[in-house]
Amino acid sequence: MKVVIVGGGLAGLVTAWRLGQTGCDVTVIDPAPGTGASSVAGGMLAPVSEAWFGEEDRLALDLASHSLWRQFANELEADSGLEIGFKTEGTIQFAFNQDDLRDLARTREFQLSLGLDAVELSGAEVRVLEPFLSPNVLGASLVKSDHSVDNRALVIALITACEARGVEFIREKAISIEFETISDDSNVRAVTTEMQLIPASQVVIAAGAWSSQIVGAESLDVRPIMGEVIRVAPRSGAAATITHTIRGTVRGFPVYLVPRAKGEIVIGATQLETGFDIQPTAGGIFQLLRDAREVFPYLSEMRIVEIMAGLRPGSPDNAPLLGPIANHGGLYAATGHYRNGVLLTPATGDVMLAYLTGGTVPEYARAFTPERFTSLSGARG
Amino acid sequence: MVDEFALGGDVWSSRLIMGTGGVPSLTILRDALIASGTQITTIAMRRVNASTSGSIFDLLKELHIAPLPNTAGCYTAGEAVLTAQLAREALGTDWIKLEVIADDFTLMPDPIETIAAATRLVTEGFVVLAYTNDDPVLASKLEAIGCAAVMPLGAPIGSGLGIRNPHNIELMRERIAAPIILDAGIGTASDATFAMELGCDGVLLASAVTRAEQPQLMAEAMKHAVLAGRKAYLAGRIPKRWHANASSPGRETSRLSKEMPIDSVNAQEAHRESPLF
Repeated sequence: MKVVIVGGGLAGLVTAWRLGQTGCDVTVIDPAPGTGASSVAGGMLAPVSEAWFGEEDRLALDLASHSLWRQFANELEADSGLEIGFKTEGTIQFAFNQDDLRDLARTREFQLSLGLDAVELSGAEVRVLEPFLSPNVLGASLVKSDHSVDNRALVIALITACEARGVEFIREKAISIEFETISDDSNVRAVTTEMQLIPASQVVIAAGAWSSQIVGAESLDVRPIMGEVIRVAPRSGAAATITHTIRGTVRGFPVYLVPRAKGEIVIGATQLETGFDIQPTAGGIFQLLRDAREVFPYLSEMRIVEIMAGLRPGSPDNAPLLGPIANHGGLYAATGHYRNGVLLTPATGDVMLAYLTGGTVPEYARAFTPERFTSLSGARG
Repeated sequence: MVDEFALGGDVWSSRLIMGTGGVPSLTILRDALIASGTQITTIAMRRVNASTSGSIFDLLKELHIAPLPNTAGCYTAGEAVLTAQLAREALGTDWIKLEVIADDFTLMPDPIETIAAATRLVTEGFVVLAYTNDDPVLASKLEAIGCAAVMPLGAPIGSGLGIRNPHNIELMRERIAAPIILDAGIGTASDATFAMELGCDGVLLASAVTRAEQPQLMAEAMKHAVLAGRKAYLAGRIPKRWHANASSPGRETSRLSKEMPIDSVNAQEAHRESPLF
């Protein structure tokens, strides 16, 4: 059995690693593994502060993956010999003005109604935990269980672990999926790149926002949602910093600051549905810096390391597409993770391993097959 | 009675125009749009690429809802005109919801830039639906320029504060023949009903639905609210009275009972003594 995975972002890499651990013959096709949205992301593992009305089903999936994280991190660090910066300091979900405070109270009420953990903090209490936050922060929720990880270290660890497990990387661009016959329910037989045809008995589409661009996988309901991110770092040794993930709204505009090693901070993220364009915009970066600086004034003194944009793979209901693609034998999807690709990495690995090796698919993932959208729309196809 | 809504050269049965800002997901938006019964939905051209497969435009096409491109995010007349031109090219429509805002935090329309942009866009053959303050004078000028509709705010965008100056909307209705669409500020169903009772031809709302705990249910509420307000406006409300006036037939007019206890003569006397008159 040979499995070809189209796309070497977190979803593809974790699937490859899990298969590689079983001794399976696995190939990952990606011109530059790990350089897409997986590297741009903020690395929040934050199901509670992401929770929103009407998305309770996805929340259950998020929480399931969250509960896998500690064990996953240990196993990956052992297999790769690399650290991935798994941080458990928790998240401070803040409010800047009175309007933000009302929204936050509503969110907290919702979180508590679902049995999630969110503790109300006054502005003064926030500054006991994070002395460098602005005194203008009016209040917050402390979400102890919302963690973070250095997603770039995670990508590198996964690539290293894959290589250690014999996963082959073909650094080319996949163009199309080849089937045994031209009928609608034919089995897969290969993947074609710009350079060659790679035979496969099973194919996993894990190409993120580009998933439905691959010929043969057009039915996947995934669209690009651009996000801009800024990375800043101290200019010299002694610097103010933060220890928790800081996220919330400043006059209604969402912003997050995620601390990394050596005082580096990741600031994000905007959301724009402007196609496959990944050029950061001045307006997006301005807004992020403006709002991040309101919360963390010391930002003014920091060095800009990088400004980047990435494309989240958005699905109609913001939840991933995990599992077989209708009709085609041997064709699977692991895409559509939207804002939660890093959080969902452990679950994606376990779920895809089960689908590909005929194991028992975990209950928490069964509702998230690509098929759930096919009944919705006849216009797409 | 057929009560059709003429706007921009077409006739519509729904008077509720939906916006999409703040929607958590396309699935939730889809359910809400269907529940609202809307036939027109506005989209920020600066935020969405019309040619991306699986975008909101595909959803509107599937639901047979007309997209109304808007110029949200524009601060100058020049930007708004440019955005309208790009929208015409991308969507093949002359419709444009003109929105020129003055700052990020009130999102109030800039009246001077709005007038300038509307003038140019009308000249270029656009069907201009102009977002404006609740100022009847400004609205008259937009109508005189040739806007197809004026869209006064009830309160700032996304505030949910309802209609803060209903008298201005009534004044506007009195002097304007073009369609008036109450745009911005709607927080809940009664706000939408009130807008229609004031004589608006339609209501545009987004946040009230998209940020509700249950968007689909709120969308359905809004559909009924707009219908209720419209029918009440057409039906002609009763004058307000200071004192009660029995709705059951009085003794002089009753043909069913000779024992009606209500004294309508007393009620009328009280009426005359009331400080209201």
